Amino acid sequence: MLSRVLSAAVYGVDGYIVTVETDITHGLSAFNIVGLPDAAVKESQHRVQAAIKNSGFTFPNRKITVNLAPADIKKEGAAFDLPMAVGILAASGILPPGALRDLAFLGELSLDGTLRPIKGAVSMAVAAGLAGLRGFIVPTQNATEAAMVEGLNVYGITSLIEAASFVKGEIRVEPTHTDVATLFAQSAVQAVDLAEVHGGRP
Amino acid sequence: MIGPPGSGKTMLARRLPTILPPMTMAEALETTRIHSVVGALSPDRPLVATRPFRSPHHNVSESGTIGGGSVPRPGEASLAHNGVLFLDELPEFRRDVLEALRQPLEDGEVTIGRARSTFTFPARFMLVCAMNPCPCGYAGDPRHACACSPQKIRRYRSKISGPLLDRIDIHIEVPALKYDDISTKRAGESSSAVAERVARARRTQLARFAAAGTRHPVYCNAQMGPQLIRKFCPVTSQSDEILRAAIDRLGLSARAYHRVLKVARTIADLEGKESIQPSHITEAVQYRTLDRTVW
Repeated sequence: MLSRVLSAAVYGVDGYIVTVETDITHGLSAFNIVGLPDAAVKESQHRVQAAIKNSGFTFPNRKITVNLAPADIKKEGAAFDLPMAVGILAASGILPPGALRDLAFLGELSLDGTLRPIKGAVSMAVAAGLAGLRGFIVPTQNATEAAMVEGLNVYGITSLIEAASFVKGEIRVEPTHTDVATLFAQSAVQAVDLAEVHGGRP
Repeated sequence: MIGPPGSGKTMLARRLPTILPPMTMAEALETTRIHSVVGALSPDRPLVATRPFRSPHHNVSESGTIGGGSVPRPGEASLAHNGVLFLDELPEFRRDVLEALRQPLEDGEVTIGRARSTFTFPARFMLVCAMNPCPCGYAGDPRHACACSPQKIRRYRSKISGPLLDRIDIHIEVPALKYDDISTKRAGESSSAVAERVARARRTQLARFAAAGTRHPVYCNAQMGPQLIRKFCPVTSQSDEILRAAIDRLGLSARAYHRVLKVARTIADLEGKESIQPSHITEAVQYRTLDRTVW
């Protein structure tokens, strides 16, 4: 079966939407990632496999092909772990494929299925906002930062199980709200002062 | 800033962002995006709302400074966008790193070319450098003997190229402190008081550029092009003489000439003066110590 999950990546400082296509067919057990993955993306398969298994789902022992489209831009980093895992769950019939429409997923998986923070969440959230996505699902650590983008529903989640339950509608996750003006006022505090410098008078 | 070890060069540089005009929301968001890409934001305060102060170690590579990698990531120059890039121990930096900084200093951005595509990162920062006068650090210090031979000092200083030095507007000496200065209980002028003066000068400049109706928005004196310099930095005949002497005798370049005028304009703005006085020109010329004495 084929599934399609949205994700995002950073090109320079700008984000762009990546489609993670997962196909599971009969054949010798294999896991191939195409779409110019770098080493961290290739290693993803081991994290994804362990995370799916340790989250209590069954990992399909068949031929899995994952394509990261657009396939001609080099993909970096571990943020595709979560969309790949979600894609495999959808392609093996555990998640309803329709429920994934217009949702973007990002996150690095640890072997036990919990999520680790990612880089470039702001730029990718901007891209997701421009694409008019319904929701942007990121590790909780990145939720405040991604939610600075106005008009985008950002959901911070902690694990693959939580992501799966959220997609299936079994649990409710409130969208993260960041008040940029308040955050700006709170953060604009200097730690040092010129008064501490002595001398210098002519 | 040039001065012996422990005279407070780093301390001064670190406090420079505190007297700069506060960041606007647009600037904060621009800088935040760059910091997000390299994963440098804190999870609970993910907004860079104070001007960044970046102080890379002197063994930083070229790609660490201006950005790099097969899918390029922003480097220190871009992380310092809208803030201060501080290079401590300037002569210890690799030459290719210093030369690579010339593009962002001129254009406010870094362009990295790769076979497949070209990446542009914003990198508009204020460059601040600190160095010792010689390898041992005590040349010219009345209380320590300098242990360096003239050749050694020359070699040390020659690591900084003329073109880079030419782009640095203000060279100052930071002398060692005397005991009374160190032990004094009297606090120096606070950042907020200085920041208020800076803000006032900026408002004057903004009003001036707005009235002139420039084609591209100009926010401060540093961004003036030759046309605006001619318009807003008129010099009296007396100032003209000072400038002539400076250019001829100190061997200042055409770029340095324009930069001296911009600095003089800023000094006048800080004093709240409408026109540039000869004293402002003299002060601006004085800030080119290194062109004058040691190079």
